[in-house]
Amino acid sequence: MIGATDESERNLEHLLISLTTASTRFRPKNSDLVDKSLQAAELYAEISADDRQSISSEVSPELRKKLQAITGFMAEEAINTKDRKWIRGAVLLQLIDDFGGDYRENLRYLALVNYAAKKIGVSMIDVVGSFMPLASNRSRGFLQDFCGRDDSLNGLASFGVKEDVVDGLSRFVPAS
Amino acid sequence: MPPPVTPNGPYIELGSKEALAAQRAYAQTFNNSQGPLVIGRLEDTAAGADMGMTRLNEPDWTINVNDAWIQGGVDAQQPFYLGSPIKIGNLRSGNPIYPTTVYFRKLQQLRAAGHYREGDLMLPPKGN
Repeated sequence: MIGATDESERNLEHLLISLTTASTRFRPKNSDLVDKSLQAAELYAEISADDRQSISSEVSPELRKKLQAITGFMAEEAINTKDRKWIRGAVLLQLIDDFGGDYRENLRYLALVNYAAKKIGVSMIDVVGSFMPLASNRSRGFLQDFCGRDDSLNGLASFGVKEDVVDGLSRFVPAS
Repeated sequence: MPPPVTPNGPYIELGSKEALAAQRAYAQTFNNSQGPLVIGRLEDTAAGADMGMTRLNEPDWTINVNDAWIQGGVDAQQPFYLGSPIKIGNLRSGNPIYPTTVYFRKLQQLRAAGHYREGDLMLPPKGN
């Protein structure tokens, strides 16, 4: 008999394969991509610690870029829908990535999530804290460091981006 | 009395943690007497550091701190070693929020300051 986590892991693998080939070059016109990514994030939270480690160790450089991009889109979605589930999803995507590439890239996207969380009145520290049991030692270290940083280091301006509102919807754009 | 100055471009609050980190980063490259400065993707600069090169390794890292580190080297007319190959995958992020990577930004800053590429090095402008 196949266990629920085996099935979850298989579904997650399928979703991650489809995210790898998704285009993030332009901002998505509908919520399909972020919905699918949120589903992947939730599945990641369901599987066993060994399976999480296995999934994270196999993230390709292509998927890494997609996970970062979608983290940014989720932060925008959080502001536009005022729904904390996108903040949670964005942090989970960082756990999938597991800071396996260049951590400075992760910091750039975490700044967006941090900004969005503040804007909708969600505590980033609480969200990160709630996922600590799922995080690897590496992710735990980076996330705790990020949350412990001075406010002057985590703002949008420190990362060269700003919030722009177009047709009533918020989005992040390069500051210059 | 002069009119109040409106910040234009990157702005760091004086005395903030970010300002102090930027000051440290600038001083590291401006006063560098260690090995050559290395830029690139993190894993490549880590390899460079293992070979005695100097890389930015600042826990209070932000893009502004990153810019300060490059600027220190530019002002001191230091060469920069290219730790990572210059290829699309290392330069483009592939999304509209941050279209380019941190590595691309460093190269852009060096080019704007007049540094030019020779082999695996970005050299300071000739005639200085």
